[in-house]
Amino acid sequence: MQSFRLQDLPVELERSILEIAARLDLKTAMNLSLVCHQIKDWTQPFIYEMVTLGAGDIALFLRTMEMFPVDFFAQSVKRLCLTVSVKPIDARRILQACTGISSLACWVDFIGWTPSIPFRALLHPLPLRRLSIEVAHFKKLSLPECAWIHSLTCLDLIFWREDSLLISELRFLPALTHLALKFLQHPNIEDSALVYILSVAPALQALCLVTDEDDLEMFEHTKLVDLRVVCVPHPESVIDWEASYRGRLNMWSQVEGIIEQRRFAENRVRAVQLHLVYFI
Amino acid sequence: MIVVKTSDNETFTVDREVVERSVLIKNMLDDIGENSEQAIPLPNVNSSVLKKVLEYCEHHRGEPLPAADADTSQEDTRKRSTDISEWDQKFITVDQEMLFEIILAANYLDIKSLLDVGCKTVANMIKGKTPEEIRKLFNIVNDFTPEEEAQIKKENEWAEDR
Repeated sequence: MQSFRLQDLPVELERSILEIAARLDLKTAMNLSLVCHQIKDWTQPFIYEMVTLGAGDIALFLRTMEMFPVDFFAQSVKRLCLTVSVKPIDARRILQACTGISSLACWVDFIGWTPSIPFRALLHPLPLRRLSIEVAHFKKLSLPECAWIHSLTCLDLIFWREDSLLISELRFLPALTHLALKFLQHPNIEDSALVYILSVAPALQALCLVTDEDDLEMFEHTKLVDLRVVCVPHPESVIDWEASYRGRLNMWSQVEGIIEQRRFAENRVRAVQLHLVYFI
Repeated sequence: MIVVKTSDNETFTVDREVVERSVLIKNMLDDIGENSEQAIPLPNVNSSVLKKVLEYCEHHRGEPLPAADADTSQEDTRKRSTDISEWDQKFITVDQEMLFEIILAANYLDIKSLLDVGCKTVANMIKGKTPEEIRKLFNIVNDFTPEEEAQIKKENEWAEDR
C-alpha cells in the first residue's frame, strides 16, 4: 500500500480530513479511534455525535456511560434516536445524560409504562431543532414549558393509533418549517384538518403525510389543499433519520423536490396566463 | 490576463476570472490594482502543481464561490457530504504525492472547493480500512498499550454490529 503524508499536512487539515472520514460511518470512526492516541482524541467524539439505540445495544451503551466522565455525553451526543424497543427506564437514564441533543427521535412508549416516568421533564430543557415523537406523547409535552419551542424547525409526529389531526399545540412552534405526520394505521385525512394545521403553523414550508404505499392513492386529493402538502410512503425509519448526518438524501429531500417542481409548474401556468391576458 | 510565477520560476498567463478562484490571488489583485503588469509570485507552489490547479479553476470557471461567511448549517452539510462530482473524481485521480501537493496548494491559494475535493478524497481512502491498514496508509505508529486498546474496544462495543 502506497502511503500518504497525512502527518506532513498542517495539523488543521490533518484533523479536518480525519473528521470527514469519521463522519462517513460508525465503523470508520471506531477504526480511527484505535489508530493512535492523537487520532482517538480527535475522532472518538464522532462515534457519539449521533447515537441510535435499540433493545440489542442499550445494555452495552449504558455500560459505556459508566466508563466516561459525566459531561462527556452532554457534550458529545448531538443526535439521538431511541427506537421503540428501548425501555422507558433506560431512555430516562440516557436522556438525563445527553442534555446537548439538537435532534431527537424518541419512539419510546412512556405513556404505556408503569410506574409512570415523567418524560416531559426530560425533554423540556433540550436545545432541540428536530424532534420525532408519537403524537399522544407530543400532546402531553406542555409545550410552553419547553426550552425549544422557538428553535424547533422540524417535527415528525407518529400516529401509532388513530388520533385527531387538529393538533392545536403546533401554534406554540413559530419556527416550525417542516412537519411530517406518519401514520402506522390507515388514516382518515380530511382536507379541513390540513387547512387547520397550515393555519396554526404559518411558517410551514412542507407538510408531509407519510403512509403505506398502498394508501397513497387515497390521499391524492390532499395536494389540492396546498402545494406544500405532499404524500410519501414510509421510508426506513432509522436509515432516514440518520441520512442527513451522513450527507445523504432523506425523506425531506424528496418532499422539497416535489414542492419545488410544483412551484415551477405553477409559475409556468401563471406566466402563460399572463401572456394570454396580454394578447386578449 | 494575469501573470503568475511559480516557485520554480515558471510563469503562467491566465484569465483573471480563472485565477480569481483563488481567494489569495483575488485579494492580491484587489490590492495591487487592475493595471499592474507585475507577475504574482507564488513561492509555495511549483509549476506542475499549479498546472493542475489551473486545470481545476478553468473547469469550474464562472461557478459561484462559497461565501467566506457561509451559513453554518450549509457549511456543515458541505463538510458531511463526501460526494465528489464525476469530473472532480477523474481530476483528482493522481498519485499520492500529487494529491498531497494539490491539498497544500489549495490551502495556500485559498480555493475552498478544491481543498474539499482533496480532503474528501483522502477521507474516502480511509473508509473500510482496519486500524492497522490506516496506520500503514499514513505511516502512523501505534502508541496504544494492549490494555488501552482493549479498553477502547470495550467502550465502543455497543456500536460494534453496525
